[in-house]
Amino acid sequence: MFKTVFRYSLLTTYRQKAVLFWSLAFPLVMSIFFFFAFGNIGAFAKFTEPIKVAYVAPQTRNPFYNLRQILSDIPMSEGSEARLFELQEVKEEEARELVNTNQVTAAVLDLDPPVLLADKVSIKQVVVKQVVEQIHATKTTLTSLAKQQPAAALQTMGQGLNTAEYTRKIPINEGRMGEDILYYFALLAMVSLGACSAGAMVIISQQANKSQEGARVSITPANKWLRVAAAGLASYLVQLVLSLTILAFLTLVLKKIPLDIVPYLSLLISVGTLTGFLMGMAIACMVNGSMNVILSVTTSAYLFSSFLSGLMSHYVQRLVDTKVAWLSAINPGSMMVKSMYSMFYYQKANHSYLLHMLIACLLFSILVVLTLRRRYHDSI
Amino acid sequence: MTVFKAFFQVARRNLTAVILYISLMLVITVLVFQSVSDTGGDLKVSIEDYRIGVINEDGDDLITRGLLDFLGSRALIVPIGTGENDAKDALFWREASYILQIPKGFGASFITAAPLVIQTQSAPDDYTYTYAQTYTNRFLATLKTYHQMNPGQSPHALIALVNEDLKDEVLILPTQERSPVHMKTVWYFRYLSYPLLAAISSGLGLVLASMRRHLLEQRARVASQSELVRNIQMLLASLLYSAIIWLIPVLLGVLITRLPVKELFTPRFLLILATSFFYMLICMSISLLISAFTQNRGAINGINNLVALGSSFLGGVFVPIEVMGDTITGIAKFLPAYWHTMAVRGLGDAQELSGGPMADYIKLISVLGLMLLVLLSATLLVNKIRRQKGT
Repeated sequence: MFKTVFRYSLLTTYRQKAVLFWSLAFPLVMSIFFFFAFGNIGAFAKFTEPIKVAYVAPQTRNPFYNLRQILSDIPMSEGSEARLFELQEVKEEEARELVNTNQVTAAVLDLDPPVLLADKVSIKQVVVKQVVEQIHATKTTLTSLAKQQPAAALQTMGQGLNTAEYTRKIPINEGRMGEDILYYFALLAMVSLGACSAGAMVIISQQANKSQEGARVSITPANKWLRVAAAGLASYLVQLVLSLTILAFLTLVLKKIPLDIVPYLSLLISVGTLTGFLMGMAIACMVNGSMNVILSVTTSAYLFSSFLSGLMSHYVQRLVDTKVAWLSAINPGSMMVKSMYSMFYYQKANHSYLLHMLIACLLFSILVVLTLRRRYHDSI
Repeated sequence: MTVFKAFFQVARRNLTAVILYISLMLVITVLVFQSVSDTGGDLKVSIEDYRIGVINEDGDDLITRGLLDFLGSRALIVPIGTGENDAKDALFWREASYILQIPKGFGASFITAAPLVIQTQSAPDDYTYTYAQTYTNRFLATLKTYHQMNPGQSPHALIALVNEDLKDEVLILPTQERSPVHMKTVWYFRYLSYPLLAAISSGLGLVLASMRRHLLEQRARVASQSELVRNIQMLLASLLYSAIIWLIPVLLGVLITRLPVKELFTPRFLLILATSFFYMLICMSISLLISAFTQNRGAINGINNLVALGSSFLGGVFVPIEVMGDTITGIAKFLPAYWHTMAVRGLGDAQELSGGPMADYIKLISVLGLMLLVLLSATLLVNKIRRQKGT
């Protein structure tokens, strides 16, 4: 009997278009959206064109210090012929107009200290500010030194001020610091937890007052627990195969998941899918409503869990993790994403999340057993 | 108004599901708003966004303390915790863009011929760390120069000289003052396109799935009421229904962005509101088009989610348009979300609502208008084909 129910459930689960859509097509399309949307992250910060800057000269020019000339001479990169800034000298009113009409990034007013006029603050304005500030600081120090020791080699000192380094960058895992990976992890968490609806369907399809299928199977001589176990196992396996298909797609086609973490992620997805599946079964057992109501609750539950784990904004995951730590600790989606993050970024498995998920599985199983064992439908 | 009344009777029956969905969308919106507001949002940065983490193993040495005090006046020194992975986490989440690890004995070694080196870590693709790095080296280089010139001077006196030289900050003055409340409102209404599309298309989709059922359509066709009258009533009911759903997040937006009452009646806010209303019409027509193709509730729900999330990711709602490449921006131009985002951003960025910015806005709204016409025409066409085929 177990085999019969298992085979039948396997076929019916595979033939459900909704299952294939939500567990396969939807995440596939979403991953492609992510791939395109985040594909260019990082590239936008590199300068290829000179920064257009308006320069407003001081009323009285200093014969020993020409900010305009210094700015014009700065190369785009070391040894490059191209210049970092494209300067145009204008009056202040004209400079304001140029900023307001976005014709220049900023306007430098050559005062003491200099002032920048800008419409907004973004990377280009910050670069201009930083360069002007360094030039001004060098000028101030050299002026002060010249007052103390007029004979000092100011040019050499000036160079030393701008080039001396007392810091050394130590290598960290920079290749794995792209925040976009969290969206793929959240997507994998969503796919795994999507088994929630399948778990609910297993319970619904075994209860005579919830579905026609339930009414049919309730009159078979098979034991209720045997039916639930066989149908549950079949449905879980289908969900697991679909989740692993998404993992394979992200790894082999989109190449977003490094191969070295795939075995651990597969284990995590197996446990995550089981957690989602049992959560769905527990919800279906506890919610006293029609099939549509139960499915609405399970869908909302797993989508909300995925949202909290960072599906729509990775900052949400961090916000929940740092500000509402208890919610993060009980949210299966957050557990999955944090575990994947740990493996990916620290390159070290944190088994505590896996353990938490297994505890959640146990709790959901107990809930299912306690609530389902007293359900009989003899009167139907 | 039989069809109009029937529409709202069906809507009432689906009220629980719609309320559940709208509530979910509102919670999502508030949480995202909260998280993005905390982190600055978009591509814009403030000069106070230079976040430095410090692992100080040198204690209260005068030179080390002088360096940290100076950096503290130029950037925000964030606590990064002492755990094994705390520094790594701070960099990954960009809570700190630059981390300095000052070794024990650094201050004492600095005035010798072989000073110890400060180890640093920085997040990739985050340009703000260069600011902190430049200032760290600048402070120490200036200190070293003064020390070489005056070897007998105390660290206190040297630090005072350096601070005097580096005290000037180049200020960035805005060409027009803009309150943070205003920018928050612009961000909120930009993001609103996702919950609007998701809530309207799903809510309306549930009702239209019932109203467009094959048997019901066939029954309506033999009624005395003309097709035109039925369509107009359906459109009016959809419009009213969508407007009610639209009003909820709009009111929430006014509340959570703490928009002052006087801002409510400014041309800028009224235009943002009008753009949002216009986008609501687009959401309604998308829902009408989807329900013209299928009346299966599951399919409608799936397609709606795909359309809402897809257009939000590619249309610059979740990810700034600047981050996406030229090809994706080209694709995004086929999505209403892109034009809505550009219009709202344009209204927020414009110094004055006249001349160039206004002309740009009219162009963007015209494109949205064109899209609305295309969507409504496509719906009518699909309905006509279905009617002629008798399906």
